[in-house]
Amino acid sequence: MSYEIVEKLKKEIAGFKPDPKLRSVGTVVETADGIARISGLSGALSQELLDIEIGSGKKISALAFNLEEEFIGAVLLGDANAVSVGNRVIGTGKVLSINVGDELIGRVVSPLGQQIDGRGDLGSNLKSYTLERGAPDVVSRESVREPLHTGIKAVDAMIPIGRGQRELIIGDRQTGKTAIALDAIINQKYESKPATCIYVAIGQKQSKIAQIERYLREVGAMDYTVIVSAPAGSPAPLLYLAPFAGATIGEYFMDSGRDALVVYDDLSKHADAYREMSLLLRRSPGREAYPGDIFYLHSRLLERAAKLDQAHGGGSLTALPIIETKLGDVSAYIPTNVISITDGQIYLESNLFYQGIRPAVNVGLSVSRVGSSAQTKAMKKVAGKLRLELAQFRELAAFVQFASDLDEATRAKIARGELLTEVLKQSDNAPMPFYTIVPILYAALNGYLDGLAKEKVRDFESRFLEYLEARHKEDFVNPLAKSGVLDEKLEEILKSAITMFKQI
Amino acid sequence: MKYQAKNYARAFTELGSKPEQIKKLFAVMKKNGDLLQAHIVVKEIEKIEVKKNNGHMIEVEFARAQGALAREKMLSQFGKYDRVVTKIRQDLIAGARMITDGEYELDMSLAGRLEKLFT
Repeated sequence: MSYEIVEKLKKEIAGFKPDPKLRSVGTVVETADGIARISGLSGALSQELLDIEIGSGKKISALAFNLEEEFIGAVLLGDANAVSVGNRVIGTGKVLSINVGDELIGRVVSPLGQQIDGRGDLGSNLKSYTLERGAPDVVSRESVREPLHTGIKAVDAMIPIGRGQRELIIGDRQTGKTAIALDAIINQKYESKPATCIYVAIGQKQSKIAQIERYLREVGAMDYTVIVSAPAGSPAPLLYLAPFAGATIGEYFMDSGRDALVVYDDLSKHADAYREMSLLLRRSPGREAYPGDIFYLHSRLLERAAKLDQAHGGGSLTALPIIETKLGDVSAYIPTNVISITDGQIYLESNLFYQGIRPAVNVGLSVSRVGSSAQTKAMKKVAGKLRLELAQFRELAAFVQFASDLDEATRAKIARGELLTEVLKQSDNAPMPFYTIVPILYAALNGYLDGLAKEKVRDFESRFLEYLEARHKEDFVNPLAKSGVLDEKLEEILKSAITMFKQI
Repeated sequence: MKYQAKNYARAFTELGSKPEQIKKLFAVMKKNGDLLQAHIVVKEIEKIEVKKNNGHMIEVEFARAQGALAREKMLSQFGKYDRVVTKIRQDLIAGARMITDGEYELDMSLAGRLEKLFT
């Protein structure tokens, strides 16, 4: 065998024609802070991948960012300290791409698509996808109408998310933003058509990413999840590339006719990384020192979320970007930008969080613009009144302490509001399938829980769900889970089940 | 740094690149605190002068030092106004590599051939 290889090599070497040709090269004239200024290479493309020869046959990749009159501003994707002035630079004529495929499921990868979880090679069955791809056009899209359940009562009932939608999760630090995204990921295992999930960690602590990975593995969610990790210690270019890598992986699943959910945790840090790069590249700073194209950065990323029509495979890419606000200020630059790009937002408030209302969703400020067209019929039927009742309760909430002086109708509204607030409370990492949310909300909104003490709501909920599972699995739970419709027959069964349960 | 090297070089050449101006140029650079980039200014002046006469900045890298005859032969390949600089780079193993105007490379070295063979 080795004899054949040697013979083949001999032939190859003998027949090799060097054919020297002129090729375009550049030279590093300045390098610092992960940025290199390169002279020459006047024909380089924007976002072209460049190879910097650092000696002894080694190369470091760089991305051409600023194409100036005499220089190219490039961001270094490898060990920036190894690059020195005078190093030769060669254009590759390619834009940055990563390898994607089903083999990525269950793995933790870097923004450049390399495995970083120590679980072995990613395999050879991967396809190369460019990191910066145009969003699907209008013709290939379909309106968002299939629900993507998060398993969170407040979200699925009042702020429904559809497959292909972009729903922003916004709030101060420590308000449960990541928990909502993780619940949405975990909840996919209860779905009849689960979405493949991509969790993109941007600028987070390594320990937190490791914790998330471990948790997702424990609950079995890594069986359909990919983690793209760009921890806080990574250079700014990697933080900048991470969400694009996540979107690219998601697009692979969308292109193959499947549904994908990508969580960008979080885009505030992404914007900060882009600001850092832009300032180092000497781009003009604008508001809050962000560059002028910061809106375009996020809009082109989030536009890649789509629901494709059947002619294009019918896949979808749902995006859940996360934005961290400072002291609840949603009118800052990046939050307003992303709010205007997305199809709605889940607004989390510290006050609610510390009052014990968790998830701390501010129902008044949270919206889903795609909304009810992407909601299961049963949920739509049950939760229709929920938002209105809570809005009425909020108006009267200030009078709660004078409750004894109020008229009967007002007191009833306040009591109902308090009850509904209690019903909507849900602990972390405990997503509920929609067919368990529907009966609970039905009971609460139709007065079956009136008079129940607030502290007993949780107990009622868990015992009632156990009862339904034990006594009405065949005639209620399974048909509802299958059809997603609460028809008259199922409603009658539910009514009688609630009445029977209350008697017990 | 008050002004870029490129601007000093341009101003100097537009004044006619007269030898008596050199002292003045460095005096101005000293006044502006830009004397540290004097070598870059000189290089820029060189570039402008070569370009003005339709010449090229040529950099030829050899694997080892060349004899006088070989050097003469090599220089005769270029035009009168071309500025040729030679360098020794042992990592080329054998042969030579030429870069024109810092942008176009013609690689005739053994290292380049080997790289081509294996990539």
